Amino acid sequence: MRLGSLFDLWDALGSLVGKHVAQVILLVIVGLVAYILRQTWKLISWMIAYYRRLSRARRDVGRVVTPMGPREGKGLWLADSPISLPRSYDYPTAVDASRILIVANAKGGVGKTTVCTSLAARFSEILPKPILLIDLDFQASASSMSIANKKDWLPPEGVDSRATYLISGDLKPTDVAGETQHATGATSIKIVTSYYDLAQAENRIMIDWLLSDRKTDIRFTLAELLHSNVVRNAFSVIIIDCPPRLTTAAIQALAAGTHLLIPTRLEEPSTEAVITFVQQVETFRRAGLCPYIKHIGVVATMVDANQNPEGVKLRLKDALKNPLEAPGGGGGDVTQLLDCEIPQSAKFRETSGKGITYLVMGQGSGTERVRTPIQALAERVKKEMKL
Amino acid sequence: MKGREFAQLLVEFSDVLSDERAALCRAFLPIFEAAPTSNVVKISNVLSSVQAPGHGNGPRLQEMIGLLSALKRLLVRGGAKKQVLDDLDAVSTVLGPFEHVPTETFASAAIERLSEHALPGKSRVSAIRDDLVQSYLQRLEQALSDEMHFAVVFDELKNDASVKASEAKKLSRAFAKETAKSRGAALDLIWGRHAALMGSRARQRANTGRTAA
Repeated sequence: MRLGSLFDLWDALGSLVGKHVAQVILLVIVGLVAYILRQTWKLISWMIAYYRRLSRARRDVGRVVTPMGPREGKGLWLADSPISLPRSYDYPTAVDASRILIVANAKGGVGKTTVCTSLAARFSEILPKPILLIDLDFQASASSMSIANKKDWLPPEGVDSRATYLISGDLKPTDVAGETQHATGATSIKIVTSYYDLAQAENRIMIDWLLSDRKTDIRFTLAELLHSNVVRNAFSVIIIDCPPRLTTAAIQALAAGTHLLIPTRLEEPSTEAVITFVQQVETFRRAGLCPYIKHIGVVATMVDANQNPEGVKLRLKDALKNPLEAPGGGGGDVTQLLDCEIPQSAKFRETSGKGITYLVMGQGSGTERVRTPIQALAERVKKEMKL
Repeated sequence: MKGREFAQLLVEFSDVLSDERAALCRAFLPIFEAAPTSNVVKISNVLSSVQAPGHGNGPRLQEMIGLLSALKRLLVRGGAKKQVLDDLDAVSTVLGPFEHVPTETFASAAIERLSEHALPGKSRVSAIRDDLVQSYLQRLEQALSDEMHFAVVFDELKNDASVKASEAKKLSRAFAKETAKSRGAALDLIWGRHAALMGSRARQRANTGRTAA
């Protein structure tokens, strides 16, 4: 359409509806065009940003091409490494002042929960402030083992478990400091319980983070909460029972933890898993996820008096000494096998469902075989953590 | 069943007993701890020749025989192996003539008797060439983290005719902290420690820089 035709159209419209009305109509048309252009621009911007986030997500979890062909990359949680520490507070100072024990191993069935609950029970006897036990395994073994009556800790219908709210960043420091759920027979052991909803929460948080703008680093959600003055001052020590995988919750626990204890059974598959786990923690430490975490050591559990474990222990020590920098480096000489050992005992089985074994087994025969090693381990951990 | 296993069985059994009976069990089990690697039947044979005085205080062996009988009934219901039940029978039978002897007195005398029986074994051990064992131990320890070097030392050990079964067994105890029954088994244990470390390295190499997260 030529410019002259536009003027003709304007004159025709003016003569038809009057000049003022024509001006109003023109203004409306101009406004509509501007609005459509603006919305289109917003949509295009959003699509560009989404495409960029999607590309980044694919890069973070994607395979890398090597001369040998494609292989899996370094994994989602090492994205953006070296990882920047939170800027909202002084992370190094807070870690130094906090006492958060991570009990973890990427292998299941090695006695993590037994060690956690036993230590919590012993610490409740000898430390002045309450102990906070956080169950981050959605199978909820620590919750179930610590609280005899299931009705007392299972989340009511329509409500998620406390651990879900914890890792989602829904809880305030005062909420954590005021936890009311406690172990059977020990009001000074406060428990953050978990349940199967935690598994969904972990997936949700991971996918959110994968696709979001990452203005907040969810790897440090738990750290920010537990490192707060309010939480720090409320408890003598915080013990976290980690799941047997490096899940979202486990990653948050590593970022929050100050000390690491690794339980293991004294048999070949378990000790091999220890080496891999130690190496992975070391990879995370070097990437900046948990730069100040201290290794307390590896504790043998379910030690059978019939078994001669010296050979297995020796091979574990060999692999732990193997420097990380060496070709195929092993444990990296960053941790050690502790002298304290938790024995295999029928007491753990007999007290199942009644509360923490250490607390509920009473004073009968055979109890000292369980009590004494737990006390020795607690003493060692207390010394290492300067509790 | 070895003495160590039998002692552990008594430990587990004592966990379900009253304090008084558990104490009786614990007073009895050092006999088997004193000969951890000996067969229970062999231990029983030695027990039959114990010279224990019948006087003294404390619960008598009669009560212990009763506890062993109860343990056997329990194991029968649990479907225990015949060998375990036979071992229990052997011990109960040999204790019969001593039923009026205090348990602790009998245990002390039995441990003494068992140590006398072990003496001939000790004299055999003294024939081992310790210098040879120490030399190989040192070389194996030094070569442990060096794949090629270890293989060389190990081959030398394997082909060294002066290293007899007794030397190889002692070397495996010192180097691999495990006991072997023959020269071949001892060499397997020695190689096993090295192989475990190499296996661990191979696993880490396959995983380098990546996490299972």
